[in-house]
Amino acid sequence: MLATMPPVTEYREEFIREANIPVQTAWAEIFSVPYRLGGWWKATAFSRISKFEQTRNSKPVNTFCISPEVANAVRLQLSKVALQSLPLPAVVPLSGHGLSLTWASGGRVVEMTAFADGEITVDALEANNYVDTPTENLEVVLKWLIAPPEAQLHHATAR
Amino acid sequence: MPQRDDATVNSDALLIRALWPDWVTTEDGQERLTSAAFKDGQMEASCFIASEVGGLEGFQRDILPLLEQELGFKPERLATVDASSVRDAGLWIYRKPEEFHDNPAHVVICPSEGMTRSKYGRQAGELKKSANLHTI
Repeated sequence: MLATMPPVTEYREEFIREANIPVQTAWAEIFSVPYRLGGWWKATAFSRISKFEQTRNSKPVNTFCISPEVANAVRLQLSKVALQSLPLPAVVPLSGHGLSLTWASGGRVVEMTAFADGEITVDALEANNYVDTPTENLEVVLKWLIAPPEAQLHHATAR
Repeated sequence: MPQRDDATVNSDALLIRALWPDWVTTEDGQERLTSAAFKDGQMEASCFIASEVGGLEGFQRDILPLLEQELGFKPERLATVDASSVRDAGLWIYRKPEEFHDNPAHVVICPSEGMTRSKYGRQAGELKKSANLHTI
């Protein structure tokens, strides 16, 4: 029985998702109010980012770790997204000290790429093809991700 | 050395890239490359010219052990892509032997001059469609 139970961390994430318990972490104290509006997915993403972060003043272990500056740049972008319900992003290191976050829902995907110098780009895909993104505002593109199928990305910027 | 596309890398050359485990996903029961496979945080994705390292077999025998030491893990999958597909995506290929034991077979895939970061990300991401996945 014990051998079939999921690892503790995955079980905790599953429990948090089902119970919708707000997760208070140190990041909630560092970043402003929008973080608190983000929901459980954000805390999980922050935790996953930390796994690839080299400690301050240490040399990179290998090409797949990111600097604290890049990690903080990514967290800052995520903290500005005030969406409660989002799929968990896949957090994947890139070679050359970069990082990729990917959200997928239905046939849509949002990719956030963080480069080694901290610059961040945002892309959208539908049916595995890149679509034009009139904005690189992460929250706007993520809203399109979870919008009804007929919603067009360029309409997402209309006010 | 300034970045430029290296004409000594023939367009029919096959490039080999070692893969981080999460750069491979499973969809409909099939393993596929993700957009991260050919992206690099410094926009220089390392590859090796297959014909100059003895093909996939020579790569596994001679290059992979050295890569394992540098990467800190043992890659279990490789990707191969034609140099022509890289150039069709508007990317450049140039030799950077100094980054791997002075081996001239070591090349990097980088953006062409004037390519924006966003365009680079898309074009590098799209290489997953023209590349092949190999399990070691």
